[in-house]
This record gives sequence, C-alpha cells and structure tokens, in this order.
Amino acid sequence: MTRTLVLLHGMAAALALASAIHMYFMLPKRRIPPRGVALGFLLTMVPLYVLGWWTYPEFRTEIRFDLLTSAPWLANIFDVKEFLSWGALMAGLAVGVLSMQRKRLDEVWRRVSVSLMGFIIFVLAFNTVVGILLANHKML
Amino acid sequence: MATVAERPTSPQQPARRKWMTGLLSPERLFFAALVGSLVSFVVHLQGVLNPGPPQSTVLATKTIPFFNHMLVSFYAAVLAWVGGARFDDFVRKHPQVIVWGIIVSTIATGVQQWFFPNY
Repeated sequence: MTRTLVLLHGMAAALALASAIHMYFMLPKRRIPPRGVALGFLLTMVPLYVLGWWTYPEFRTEIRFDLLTSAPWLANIFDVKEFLSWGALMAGLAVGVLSMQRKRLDEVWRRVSVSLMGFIIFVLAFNTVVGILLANHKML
Repeated sequence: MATVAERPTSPQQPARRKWMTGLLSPERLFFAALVGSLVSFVVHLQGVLNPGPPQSTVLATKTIPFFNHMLVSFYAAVLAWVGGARFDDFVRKHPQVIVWGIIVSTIATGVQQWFFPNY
C-alpha cells in the first residue's frame, strides 16, 4: 500500500514540475495570468503534498532508521528536501492564488511571481532527484 | 432608494473593506509566504540551539517534530495573511525583500538541517 502511495507521490512530483515549468513560461507573456495554468499548478501540488504528508510517518519509522546507519548522507539530504518543499509550498500557494484571480498584475508582481516560480522549479527538480535516489537505494 | 454609491457609510467601513479586499492582494499573499518561511527558519534554529532527545529516541515515538515545525510556520503565515495590513506599504516598496527573503530563508533552513539534523 505505502509503496503504491510513494509511487503516486513520485508521479505527482513529475506532474507538479511540468506544470510549474508551464507556469514559469506563461507568466511573463500574459498581463493577466492564465487561470487554467494556475489551476493546473495548484491541483498538481495538492496530491503531491497530501501523499507526502501521508507517507512521511512510515518513512520515519521504517526507512529513515536504517538510513541513519547505512547511508546517513541520504537521510540528511532527504530531510533537507522536506524543508525546501515546505518553503516552496507557501511561495507556490501565493503565486497560484494570485494568478487564479484573473487580475491585471503590475510588472513588479509579475517579476516577483516569475522569480518565485523559478525557485519552486529548482526545489521540485531537486526533490525529484532526491526521491529517485532514495527509491533506488531502498529498491522500492 | 439609495444606490450602492450613495449608500451612507460609517467611519469604520473603509478600514474593514481594506482589510477584506487586501486578503487576496499580492502584498498580503507574498507577505504571508515570507513570514511562513522566516518562521520556519527561526523554529529550526531554535531546535538547533536547544536540541531535544537523541534521534533514536525521537524515532521510537509517534510524535513527529517536523510536522509540529510545519504547523507553527503555517499558523504564523495565516496570522500574517489575515493581520498583515500594516505591512502592505512596506512590501509594495520593497518587493525584492519578498523574493530574497523566501529563497534565502528556505535554503538556509535546508542547510541548517544538513549540518544540524535535529529531527
């Protein structure tokens, strides 16, 4: 069961990364952010974080304990991933909710949104790589 | 019959309207994200300065400090979102604080966890 949820979590990460990149390239082009793209981005973030939250307790008790002795660097980098994703979630919610309103954005807020989306893409890409490393290590 | 524009307003109404409409403004949304990530950094720093029991002990319990950490910063972000009207002007004047504040504090929290894995 958990293995399936983790697999779905990985798939949701790939989807969220794709929708974040889409959003990143759409934001500078349109004065009014496209609502469909923003909605797609928010909807891919929801299963990603819900599945992560759901499977984390089992990761701590079943996997992390072994990792701390067999591959402590991987346990540490996985924790770094968790903190980065938490920061990216708050920035992502702000950009997503702002873009959903179909309001004409000032140039300055458009630039802030694009910069934060760039950061979110970096975090999602980093987290996807770390997740794949962990999955390979544990032969999920 | 009075139209919407002619309807008499009490002195309290403009402030209330500003508070309500400001909730979905870019200033307030980005300010909430900034406060959430800054508080996340501070909570982690507090954990580094006051380490709890060894990791093996923490792992054996059902309590997950990481979830508590996230909830504290989430509550802080909600408070900043609802009550941060007085910072709207500051955020409007210094949007670079938002971008760099969120990026630096989030990465700094991750770096802290790498060097001081206290969860």
